Parts: sequence; structure tokens; C-alpha cells
Amino acid sequence: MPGTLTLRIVTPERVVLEQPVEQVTAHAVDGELSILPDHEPLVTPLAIDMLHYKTNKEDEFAAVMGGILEVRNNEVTVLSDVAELDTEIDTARAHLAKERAEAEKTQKTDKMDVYVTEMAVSRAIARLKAVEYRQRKRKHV
Amino acid sequence: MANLKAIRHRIKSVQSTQKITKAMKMVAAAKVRRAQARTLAARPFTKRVISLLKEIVHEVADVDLNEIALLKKRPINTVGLIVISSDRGLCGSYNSVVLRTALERIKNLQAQGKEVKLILVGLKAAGFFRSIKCEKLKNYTLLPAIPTVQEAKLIADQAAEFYINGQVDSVELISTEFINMLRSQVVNTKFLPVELPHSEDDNSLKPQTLFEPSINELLELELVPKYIENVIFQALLDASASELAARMNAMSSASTNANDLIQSLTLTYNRARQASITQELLEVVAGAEALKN
Repeated sequence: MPGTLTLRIVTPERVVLEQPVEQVTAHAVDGELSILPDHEPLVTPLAIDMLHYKTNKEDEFAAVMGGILEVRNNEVTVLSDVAELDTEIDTARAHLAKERAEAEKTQKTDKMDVYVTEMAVSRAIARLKAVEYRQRKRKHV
Repeated sequence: MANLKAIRHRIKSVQSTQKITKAMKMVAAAKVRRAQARTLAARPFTKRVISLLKEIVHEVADVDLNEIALLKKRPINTVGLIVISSDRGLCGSYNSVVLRTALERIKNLQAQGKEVKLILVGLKAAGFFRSIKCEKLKNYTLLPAIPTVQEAKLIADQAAEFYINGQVDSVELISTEFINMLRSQVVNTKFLPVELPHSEDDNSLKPQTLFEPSINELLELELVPKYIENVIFQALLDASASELAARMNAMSSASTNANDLIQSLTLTYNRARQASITQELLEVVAGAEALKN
């Protein structure tokens, strides 16, 4: 029986999640990485994307808007400005936000503005992705 | 008779003032509870950021740390002061204590021959420092009542920019720390250059931590900005909780004072009323007596 990891997602506003998990898959700035129990200590920045973790053989998802991932002593800590669990995400709002941001992006010429709207798009996509993956997994069960 | 009317008027006006102070007290009481909860909810994050910073600093050589702009120390000629006050008044001595502390600090620094530049948060600070000769780098007024990370980021990024482009050589933060409902304290924190939590140098064997992409990039792009942002965010949360607590206390004592005033006024009013009735009675009796004779 392999050990378990403690996954902790902390934002300035609240502790989003703190529970034992079997596996964490995250998107770091330079690619996807999976963390299993007894992983070596690691610190890396995260991209704006979804986070995938397994508890009791169940797949769970969360949307993480950037941040830092730290692995130490079988504890995985994610420090992020904003993070939401798949069950908390407002799909309609994320869809709207995505459409709005994409529409805005076509109107912007300034580099900075384009960057800002691109960030908004990727935040919306991360949320939608987390929800979509969850629904797909639920169908298979 | 005119006197009676005047007193009645007074009582009415005090009563309506009391209604307002009572309402404000209740609103502040409801808000302060939520603000307190938010302040407490933010603590775990702050704790983790600091502990992570501590662990990482442990693994980096001092020379490398000096290469990061926000950590580098340089001779201090100009000091930037961030003063956090509120946008609205009627909160007791909350603002005056913050502003007085800031003024003292400015005088202190100027006495040492340093130039002071200000970054002000809140209408009250903006108004107070308008007449004071001191360069103002930036004003933040009418921020949303519930501080969010975005505003903290705004202020922190701006302060970092002033620091990096050399407009200021160090940044201090004067704000109010929330202790409990009845107590808060003005604190002066060194903000930039970032004072790293010093980790004790033990040579024990530790598993080497993997850093991706590189430790310096990680510190410079992620952790240090996150840290300074969080310092401001925590300060804003503490300030808003303290402001609401101060307002609640001020309004509570104002309501009590109004009550006392109403009581003493009612007493005077009744006395005056009785005196006038006695007077009238005396006149009637005297008139009757005069007719009898």
C-alpha cells in the first residue's frame, strides 16, 4: 500500500482544499507533471490551467490561476491567487467571460492590452477545462 | 415658553442623530465580523509564503540573492512611505492615529537628512497630506470596501516599480494592525527591500530541493512578488477590519452619549414645564384672590 500525499490549495482569501490524495497532476510553466507519494522535494511555478488529483480512485479537478507548487515531505502545497474546485465553478460565467475576452482581444492593438485579455481567456479556459474533464469522467463511471 | 420649545427641538435633533449613530453602529458591527473572518482566512496563505521563502533562502547563496532587484539593498537617500487610511470618517481616532504616526515618521526621516515621498491610500490621508510639503508619488482613493488581491497587486507593483527605477531607495508601510474588536495598533513595517526571514544555518543533511526552471527565476518572478503583494493585502485587510471596529466603537459611544444627553434634556424640559404650570397656577390663584377682595 503506497503512502498518500496531503494536497493543500491555499489562496489569500481562503484554504480551498486540504485533504489526502493519491496523485496530483499539475501544469507547470514548462509542462505537465505528476506527483506521486515520496516525490522528491520540488518547487515550481504553475501555469494558468487545471489541476487534477485522485482521491479514493476518484478523479477530481480544480482550476488554478497560476501560483507556486511546492512538494515536501509528502505534502503538496499550491499557493495561488485564485483557485476553484470543479464543483464551485460557474460554467455559464466562465463561458461568458471567455467570449467577452476573445471579442475584446480582436479590438486591442496595444501589446499590454492583448496580454491582459489573453490572460482572461486562459483563466476562462482553465475553468471550463476543469468542468469538462469532470463531466467526462462522470459519464464513464 | 420659548425655552420649552427650544428644548423640545434639541431633544428631537439629538434623537435623530442617535438613530443614525445606532444604525451605523449596527452596520459596522455586522461588517466587522466578516472583515475579521477574512483577515483570519488570509493568515494561512501568508504563513505558507513566508515558510516557503525561508526554505528557499536557505538554499541560495547570498551573492545570488543580491542579483534580485527587489532584495538588493542600497544606500538610502529617499524613503517611500505607504500610508493606509480609510476613505470615510466617523470612525473615532482611527485615521488621526495613523496620520499622526506617519507625520512623526516623516519628520524623523527628514531630520536624518532623508527625502520622503508618499504613497497614500484612502481619502483621509490624501486630504491630510495635501497641505504638507512632501512629494506624493501616488494616491489610491475610493478603493472597494472589501480589499481584494487585485488592489493589493496594484499597490505592490507600483511600489516595486518606484523602487526598481530608483525613485525611492526603501519603502515603509504605515498601517493599522487589527488585534481585537477593541484594540488595534499602528505599525510601521519595512516593505522594500524585502527583509528576508533569516534562516538559521544548520549544516544538517537535507534532501536537495528541485527547482524548476531555476531558483533565481522562481524567486524573482513568483515568490518575491507574491510576498510583497501579500504583505499589502494583509495590511489592507487589517486596516479595513480595524476601521470597522473603530467605527463600531465610536458609534456605540456616540449612541450612549446621545442617550445621556436626551435624559438630561428631558429632565430640564420637565422641570421647565412644571415651572411654567406652577407659574400659571399662581397667576390664576392670585387673580382669584384679588377678585375676592
